[in-house]
Order: sequence, then structure tokens, then C-alpha cells
Amino acid sequence: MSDSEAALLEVRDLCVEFATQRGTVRAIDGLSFDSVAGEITGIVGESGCGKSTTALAIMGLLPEQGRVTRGDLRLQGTNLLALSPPALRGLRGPAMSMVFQDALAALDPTMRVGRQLMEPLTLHLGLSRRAAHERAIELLGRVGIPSPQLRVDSYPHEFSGGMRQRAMIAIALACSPRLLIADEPTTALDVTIQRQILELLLELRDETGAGIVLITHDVGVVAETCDQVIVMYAGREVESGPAEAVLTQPAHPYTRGLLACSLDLAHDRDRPLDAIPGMPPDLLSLPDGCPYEPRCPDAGPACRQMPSMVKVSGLHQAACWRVTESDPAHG
Amino acid sequence: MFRYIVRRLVLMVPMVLFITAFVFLLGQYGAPDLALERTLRLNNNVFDQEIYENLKLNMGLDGSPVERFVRFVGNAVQGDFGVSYSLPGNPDVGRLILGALPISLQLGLAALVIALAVGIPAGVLAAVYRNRPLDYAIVTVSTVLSSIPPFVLGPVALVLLVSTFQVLPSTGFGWHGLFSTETLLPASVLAAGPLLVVLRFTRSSVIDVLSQDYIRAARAKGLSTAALVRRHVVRNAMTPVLSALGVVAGFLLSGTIFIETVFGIRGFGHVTVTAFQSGDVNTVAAATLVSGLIAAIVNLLTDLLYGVLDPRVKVSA
Amino acid sequence: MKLDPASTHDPVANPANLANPASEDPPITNELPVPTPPHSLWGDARRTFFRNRMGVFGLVVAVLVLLIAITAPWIAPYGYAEQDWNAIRQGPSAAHWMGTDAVGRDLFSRVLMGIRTAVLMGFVVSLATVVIGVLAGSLGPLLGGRVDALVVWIMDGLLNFPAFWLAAFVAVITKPAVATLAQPMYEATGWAMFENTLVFDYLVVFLCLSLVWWAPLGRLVRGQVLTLREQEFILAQRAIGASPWWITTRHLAPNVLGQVIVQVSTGIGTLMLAESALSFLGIGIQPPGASLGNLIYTGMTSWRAEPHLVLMPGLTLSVIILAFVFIGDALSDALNPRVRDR
Repeated sequence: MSDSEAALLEVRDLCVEFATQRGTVRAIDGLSFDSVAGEITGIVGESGCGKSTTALAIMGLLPEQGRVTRGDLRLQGTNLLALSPPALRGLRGPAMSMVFQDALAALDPTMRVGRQLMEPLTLHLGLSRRAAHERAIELLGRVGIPSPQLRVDSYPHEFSGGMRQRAMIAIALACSPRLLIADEPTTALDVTIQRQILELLLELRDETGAGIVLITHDVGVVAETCDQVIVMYAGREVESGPAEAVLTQPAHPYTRGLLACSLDLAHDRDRPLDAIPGMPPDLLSLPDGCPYEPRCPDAGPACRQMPSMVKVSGLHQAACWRVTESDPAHG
Repeated sequence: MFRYIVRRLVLMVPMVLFITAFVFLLGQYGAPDLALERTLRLNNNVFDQEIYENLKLNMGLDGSPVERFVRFVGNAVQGDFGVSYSLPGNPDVGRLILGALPISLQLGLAALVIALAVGIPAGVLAAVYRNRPLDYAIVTVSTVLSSIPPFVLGPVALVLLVSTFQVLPSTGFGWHGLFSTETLLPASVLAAGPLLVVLRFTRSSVIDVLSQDYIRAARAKGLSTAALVRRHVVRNAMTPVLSALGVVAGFLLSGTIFIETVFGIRGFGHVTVTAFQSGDVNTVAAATLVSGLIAAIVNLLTDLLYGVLDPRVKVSA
Repeated sequence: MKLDPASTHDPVANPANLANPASEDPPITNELPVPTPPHSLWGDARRTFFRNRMGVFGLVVAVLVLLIAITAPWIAPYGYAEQDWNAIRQGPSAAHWMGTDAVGRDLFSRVLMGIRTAVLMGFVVSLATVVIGVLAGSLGPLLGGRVDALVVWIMDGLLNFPAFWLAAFVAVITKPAVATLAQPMYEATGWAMFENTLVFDYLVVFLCLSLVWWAPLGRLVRGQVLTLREQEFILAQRAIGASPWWITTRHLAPNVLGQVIVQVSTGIGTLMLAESALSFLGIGIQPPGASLGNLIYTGMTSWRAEPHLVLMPGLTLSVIILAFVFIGDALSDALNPRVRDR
């Protein structure tokens, strides 16, 4: 946790629960992290670990069945959970914004892209329609869409996947937010386009100085872009710290497993595929202790108890009993 | 686009003809032999072959049923539907229907406007507040009202609103024009069935739309629920409602029969009912044809409207 | 709601036991969660249905109506055609619970008979529409080619017409036809029923409604069959030489059943409405026969003076129709689970 500069986004002990037909599911349990302006914070984990839910919780966009039951969410000091709905709405766009995973689904199919881009401009910045239109063209150009003055009048389905994603980023940037949350922005795209989008995000970080929270299940994406990483499993934070530290010296067995699963052509040609055995946990029936225990190759009797976050070195920490015991520098 | 319309029309015609043929031919077998009746009447109940044959020729009742149908269609295309043999004065069927149709169309239009103006907002409200008391109230009230058949709702409404509570002026029977207060009650009763259909379709469509990702993304931009509904929901939700219009048109067509009977309005429905009750085959056949055409045209219009509402739909050639 | 979009492909959730040979793996605790009680479609549906208050109300009314329909002749205090000239145009009273009509017939008894008519027509015609609809809907795609084209053409034609009008037309036209057939039929069979005009009325209504009302069901069935036809298990059936008939009855029908049930239950309500509408217009069941429809029509002539003549049958009819609409709605909720709604 950085305490040198005032953090842009402070998440403390966040707990989010969902009411389902079969009981209450705790989708996020005690998550804490900071996001700093000018840095990209990655949240990585497998499907269902709670990363998208974190994004929605921050934005205040949890569905009906979901509630924040505990914890603190502060954006530049403002307590997001204590805001009235209109006040929260006012923040969405100018203070914080979100880029969604499936750009085709996240854009209104019956409205021209330009108009959708103009909405936050007229709503929050009070621009006239003409001014908003101009700014929309500017924004489209800024995110790398060719011929923006033509494209501004197109419909979403007339864009290619990569362009749509860029358009969504443009919409998110429209009011120059301090915090940008990108939920799996590259998952639905081809590899070459992925790279372009990631580079765009890096550029934007440098240009605008905004803080970016990047959510992904792809460790490779994290490696390329993130300054800070949080690894989540079953709604809990299991490891976090500066990206380089976590990725080169993973302390938690799950992180190690994740990294081992990603392929590297140079080394892995002749090895059998690594996989993490077992299945992702059923959030309705989590064990009392460490949720990763059933699948962990290093599990021991101590793991029946929930481990707490232990410092590995500097800002790098992990939630695993083994960390205190052995040298965290472990292949 | 133009080609599409033409193609649809071309497909429509055989269908309408088929139904009309069905009705017409059945009628020929069952209907009383009007030529015979007239012969007997003119000739003091004595059958005369020559008069009979002449009359058959004049009344267009000669030839095999198929020949007669072909002649019927041929004449119909020119607007000649023959003459009504059941009504006094034997008025020309074509003119009869043509005179009555505008009244029914106006009534139907009024009912449609009421159904849309009440049904759509109510459906949207019910969807936004779904599973809460307002939703239940809206859905239940509209279900109840529309399940009451128009020929029950009409008289009941009449009794309650005019006699008992005296909310509306005593309606003289008959048609007083599209914008008169007397039209309000019949149009409203006619609108009951369509209203429910519109409401249900709107509600389920809006519920669908509300769960879409782009609604959540729009919220992420900071839009309020009201703005959300206005700008994004309504347009996306209307497409399924369009398909409801076909059903609605059916309701309206059927409904006019009853409403006109109950309120004494001499429209298309009334003419048809009288034809039913007196076994006036010519009018019945003509009415079938006309109502089939109307239904088919409405369907065509609905399809065309799809293309307008949703830019993804290209009305394919 | 899913916590993460299911579209993310997760390569890690692969339970393959490709153990790392260097270490010694503890036994994989790959236990499945404790099995929940079996959730069959019908069990779930039944539970959901009974949780729906209006559906239950509808069901109760429907059962009541059925009982009345069956026992009507015995529980009616008076004969439905019995006229008492001392008691004409009376309002509801102890002797006549619903009052009397212009010729002294007890309205209550006539309403009971009217219920009987409605139920009879509703159920019998429903059955007919199911038979025709399922046959047409499934044989069309299965037999393919010209047969299918013909079925589709007829179905489309019927669907494009306002069903009620078509039924009315057919009724008007067939009535005289049936009348002309009566004499020869009587001579052929000697059955007294062919002399009874009331029977004609019923026959005509049955015919015209069945011929017209099967179309929506037919389209539903056809749609399902077209989808199911492409599925593998049908292919497997054909591979073992099953005939279209076998496939229809043993495999396609059960899969379509759910939706058919919903349509039929709302259809019963609509058919009852249609029957009374036809009778109202004078082309269905006519006096002295008792149909709620014609009771309303005759009552309408004096609606100001004797509103009970309209209100009683009218309200009865409305309640019955409502009951079936509620049942249909509840069934639809129960059989078509939509997780987002209700």
C-alpha cells in the first residue's frame, strides 16, 4: 500500500455479497488496495474470482442482488459508499469511468457512436451540441480511430472490434476522469489488436496522469502494462505488490500456478502443459481456511486456518502461511 | 425497398384470395337459393324455369361455383362486389362497405392511440419498478380489464359511468365523429384488449433491455434512470412492441364488431354483423376480402417499420 | 447473476492430473459439492406455479367451473328453458338468485347452463386444436417438400386473418350447409339428434372454432420441431429407422409439451370468449340454448331497466375467463423460467 502520495482510490476491507436462490454468496471478502494517479494497477485472477465485481462496486453499479456489506471506498478522499445516488452519478464520467469488456454489448445498437460519445460531454461538461460534436471527433481521433469526422456518425455494428473498443475508451475519457477502470478490455480482441489497445492505455496513462485499474485474467497483459498487481482468488486478495516483484518472485502458490500456466514459446516447447489441478471453488461452500487449499501443491495442516497478508518485501505481500516459513524466492 | 414491397404484396394476394375462396365456395353450397326464392315470389309461388334462369343471370348466380368465384374476383378488382340481397333496397355492397369503413377506421385509430398512449408508459413504469407494488398493480388491473370481453365491458361501463355515477354524458347511440366525447367510451372499451397486449410486450421488452450491457455502460457515464429510459431504453424496446401491433390490429378488427353493436355505431363491423345475422353471402364474402386485405396491409406496414426503428435490420430484398 | 462474464475462457480450470513429477501431489480433492435435490422441470414448475397466488386462484375457480359444468342440470333450481309467466323481469331474489328474464326463465339456471356450454366448447375445441396443431406443426417439417409448403401456406393465411372474424365467417356460412345436411343425415342414421337445431349450433361452433384456432399452436409446434429436428437425438432416431409418426409422438411431443400447455391454458379462456362472442352475435348458440354470450345479448336490449340481465352473465363470463388467463400466466412463469424476471 502506498502511503507516500495521497492515493487516488483507496479500497479498504471491501466485502460484497450477492443474494442468490441458493443462499448468500460473498463475492469479495476483505479486499484492500490503493490505486495511485499515473499508475496502472492490475487485478488478475480466474473467472469468478471477483475482479469484475470489484470494478462494479467501485462504480456503484452492482446489480440488484449485490450489496457492499462492509468496507470503505474512497476516491480522492470522498467516501463513495456514503454518497447519494445523484451525487454518485455526478462522479461517473468526470471523476471515474469504466471501459467494459464486450464493446459491442456495451454500446447502444440503435444510437450513433458520436451521440453516445456526446452524452457525457453534454451531461457533465455542459457543452453545447456543436461543441460536443467537435470534441467527440477529437476524442475519436485521440484514441486512434481513422477518419473520425466520418466515423462519428456510424453505428456500433459498423465498427470493427478493435475500433469499438477504442470508441469505448474514448467515451470513458470524455470528461477526463482521474480514475479509469478497464474491465478485460482486450479479452474479446485479436492478439495484434490487443497490443494496440494496451499501448493506447499506456499512452493515455502518461498523457493524462489518470490512475488506471486494469482487470484481466491474462498474466501476459499484466506483465506488459501494470505498475502494481493484485492477485485475487475466490473473492480474496492473495498476493499484491509491484508488478515486477510479483511476477518474477511470486510468493503465493496460486500466483505461481497462474504464471506457470502461461506459455512461453522459448522455454515450453517440449514440456507438458501445466495446469492448476482441481476446479474453481463454489463460492456458496467455501472452506473455512485458505480457499486455495484444495488445489495447492504446498498445502499443509496450517492451511485450515485463513492466512493473513504477510509482507514479503517492500510493498510485496501475500496471504500464505508458507511465506513466513521459507524463502519467497522460489521458482 | 420497392421491390420488397411488391414481393410482399404479391405473396399476400393468394393468401387473401384463398381465404375468400374458402368462404365464398362454402357459401354457395349452404346459402339459400336466392334466385329460386325470388322466382317464387314474383310468380305467386309457382316455379317457372325461364324466369328462374333469367334471374340467375341477372343476379350473377349462374354457372358453377368456381365460375362464380372467378367472376366475383374479377368484379371485386374493379370495385364491384355485387348487391346485398338481404338489406332493403338491395344496396350495392361496395358502396355499403366503403361508407362504413371510414367510421370503423377512425374508431380503431382512436382506440390504437389510447392503447399506445396508456400502454407504453404503463409498461415502462411496470418494468422499471418490476416486482414492486406498482408493477403488480399495473399488470393486474390491465389484465382484469382486458379479460372482460368487450361486449361485457361496454354495457357494464355504460351502466356504471352513465347511469350510476353519471361521469359521462348520456351517450346518444351512433357515431358523432372522431373527436366528440361520445367516442371516448367506445374507443376506450375497444382499446382494453390492445392495451394489455401493448403493456405486456413493452414491459417484457423493457425488462430485457434494462439487463443489457449498454444500459450499465450508460449508467457508468453518469446518466440518471430517467435519462436512461428516455434515450436508450425506449428506442431499443420498441421493436418487439411492433410485432405486437399485428396482434393489436387483430384485436381491433374483431373488437369493432362488438363495440359497434353495443354502441349502435354503423361502421364496418356493424355491416358485417348484420350480414352474418341475415346470411347475406355477398356482403359476407366482400367483408372477408376487405378484412383480410386490411390485416395483410397492417402486417406489411409492421415489417417496414422494423427497418425504421432498428438500423441493424436491413429490410432484405 | 454471473460474477464474471462467462465468455472468458479459463485455461486453468482444467482438472487434468498432469502432475509435476518433481513433487508429490497430495490427493486431489476434486469433490463435487453436495448434490442438491433433483430439479426436474415439472417439479420446479409445480412449485413455482403454486407460489403464484393468482394462478392458484384461477385454478380454484377453474375447478369450480368444471364441477358446475358437469353437474349443472342437477344443481340448477329450474330448468334452463322453463318459463314462469308470473315472474318475468324480476331482479335477484330469494326465489331467483339472479333474477328472471323477459319470459320468466330463471337467470341463475341459465347462467349455469351457459357455464356448461362455455366449458364444453372451451375444452373440446382446445382438444381439437391441439390435435390439429400438433399434427400440422410436426408433420409439415418432417415430411418436408410440398406438404410442408402447403401447411405453411395455410397456417400463414390463417394467422394473418383475425381469427375471430374467420371463425364468424365460417359459422355463418356453414350453418345453412349443416341445416341442409340435416335431413339426409337423419334419414341415414335415424338419430334424433339430427333433428335438434341446438345440436347444429354446437356442431357449427365446434367446427368453425377448431378449423381456425389451431394456427398459433401449429406455428409454435412447427418452430419447435424445426429446431429439434436438427438436434442429434432426432438424427439418431432416424438412424434406427423410426418413422415420422414415432418420432413425433415419442420424441418431439414431450419436448414441446411445456409451451403447448401454456398456450392451451390461455387458449381455453380465449375459446370460451370466442364462443360467447359468436353466440352474442347470433351465429353461435341461440335461444333456447343457453350461452353466456346470447344471455348478454338478450339482456342488452333492456340494460337500463334490468341491468342484472347483462351484469350477471357478463360478470360470470369475465370471472371464468380471468381465471384461465391467470392460470395461463402462472403456467407460463412456471414453465419458462426467466432468471432475471420474477
